[in-house]
Amino acid sequence: MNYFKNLVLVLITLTISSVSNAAEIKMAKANWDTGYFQAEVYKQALEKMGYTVAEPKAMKPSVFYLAAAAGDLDLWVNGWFGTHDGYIAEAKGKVKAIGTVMAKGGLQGYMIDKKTADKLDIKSVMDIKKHAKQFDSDGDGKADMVACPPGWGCEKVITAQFSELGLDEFINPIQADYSASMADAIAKFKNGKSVLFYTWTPNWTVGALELGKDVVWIEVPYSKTKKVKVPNATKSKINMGFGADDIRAAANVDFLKANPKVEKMLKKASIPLADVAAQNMKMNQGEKSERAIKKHADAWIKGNQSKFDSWFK
Amino acid sequence: MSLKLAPSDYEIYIPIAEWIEKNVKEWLFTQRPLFKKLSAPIETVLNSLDSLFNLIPFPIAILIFIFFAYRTNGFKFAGLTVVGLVFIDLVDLWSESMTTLAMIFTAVIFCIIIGIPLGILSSRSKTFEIILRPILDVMQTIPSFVYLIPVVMLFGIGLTPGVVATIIFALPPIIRLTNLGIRQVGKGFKEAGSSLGLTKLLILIKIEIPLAFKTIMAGINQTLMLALSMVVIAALIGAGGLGLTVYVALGRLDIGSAVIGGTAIVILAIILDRITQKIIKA
Repeated sequence: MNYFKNLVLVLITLTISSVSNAAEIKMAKANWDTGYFQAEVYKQALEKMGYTVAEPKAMKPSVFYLAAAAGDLDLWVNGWFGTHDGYIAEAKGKVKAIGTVMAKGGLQGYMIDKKTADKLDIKSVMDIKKHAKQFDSDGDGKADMVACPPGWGCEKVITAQFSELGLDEFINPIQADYSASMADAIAKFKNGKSVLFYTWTPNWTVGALELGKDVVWIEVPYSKTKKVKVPNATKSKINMGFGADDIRAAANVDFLKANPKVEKMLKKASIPLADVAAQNMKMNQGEKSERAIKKHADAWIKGNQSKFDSWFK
Repeated sequence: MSLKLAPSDYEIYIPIAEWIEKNVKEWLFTQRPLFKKLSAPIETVLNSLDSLFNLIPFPIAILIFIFFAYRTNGFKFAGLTVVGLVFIDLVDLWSESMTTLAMIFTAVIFCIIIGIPLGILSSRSKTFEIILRPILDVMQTIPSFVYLIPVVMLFGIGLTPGVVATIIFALPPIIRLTNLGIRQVGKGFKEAGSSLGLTKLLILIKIEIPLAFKTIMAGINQTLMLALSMVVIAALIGAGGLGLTVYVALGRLDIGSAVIGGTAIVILAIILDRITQKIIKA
């Protein structure tokens, strides 16, 4: 008897809590902290609309899209499209990209240190074939490259590039946590060794290495992308191997149906690329605690109040 | 809204994290050549074990395992060992398992080389024990993620730094249990030794260590098990083997590979645990 009483009580509590949580949004953010700032700005926007938003949990894309498809999470504003197109396809219509946080906000590609690039005249990843030993640290004769950790969208792209261009023959993509591999690359660079790594901008983890002065983008002659004009590259126009990504929100489709107000806001909202780059610079200079990022978001909203308010009209 | 009672409500803040970031980080980066030299012996042992284990043909490896499994645990366990190892090979994780085995052996070898002398020292000197104890407490309780990145800055990434992180994690029990084992040797035995005219060194080698052997072996067994549990975490800093299989599977949400990788780790753990457990009891 007691068991049933308890069961009923639990069920009642669950029902009540699920009703009272109706206006709560389950938001996530990316586990690369250059994306925390826009997550915080959007969180405050949702709160202004009257929703309760729990502190967004940081996670990798593979986990977010799976959880969002299952309805365990409602949205994030750290989608990178096209890189994340594959995840949207896997979600089978349960998750969609919406609005644009930053158009063409994400640059991705391969970098090497400028000293080696100049000395050995390396302009493209294919040039590394002749100089693989220069980038080899484990003694297998292949260059070691900081690649994408498993579970990031770029991992799939890099795998495709490696097989199309035959990079496997002379480059070893390192499979480890990204920040660990980057810490190693930075240490190598500081000790005068050559480094080869995948990275993206805006991204302060490269902060210790100055773009254009310490490190440069090299060409990746991948068939799916075209040559573009890029600063800080080995040539004025190179094929980065990645299209410039739009950073967009991605949300559970049922959630959007139930909350059309949120969909409307996400469609209107955006943050200028320069503002995010400026905030990322501050993180690079050491202001990267949760508290500091909240302050950056507060300051940005205050400085762009009319723009921020227009998101809700 | 709420009462402002905590110092941080008034923007009082101690920038320790910033200080460490600014000063210690740069220092860590410059120390790399020195630490690379320090880890050279580990690298040599690891690379030779890795290539040796991967070179041994499968049937011979099975025979070696059968020998130890049969000697320690009898016929039934030897049979189960064969089933387990054949399973590992059938799911195509043999080479990864051998790499993991080489990592664990290297870590345990260095834990023994470092740990047993430290354990003996702390059984000899109360002061040494008092100094060592909090250090061991920190080593056992600090989350391994905390020292993973400094390890990378000093030692780089790959198998060797993975073993270094494993040694930090797995060292404490062998020191503690060596210390305990030697302290538990009865006074009478030592007095008997000295009355026979044995030197302190001979008492240690001929009386104390043999009598403490079981406790020391229990320490080695624990160290071995801790080393195994670091396998997946070490994969975060580029150590290969079964840990990488599981880590990659985790990243890609590939449940299939995660299950077979995890099962292979469990099989290795059971085999190694049973064999060393029996040596303790023998």
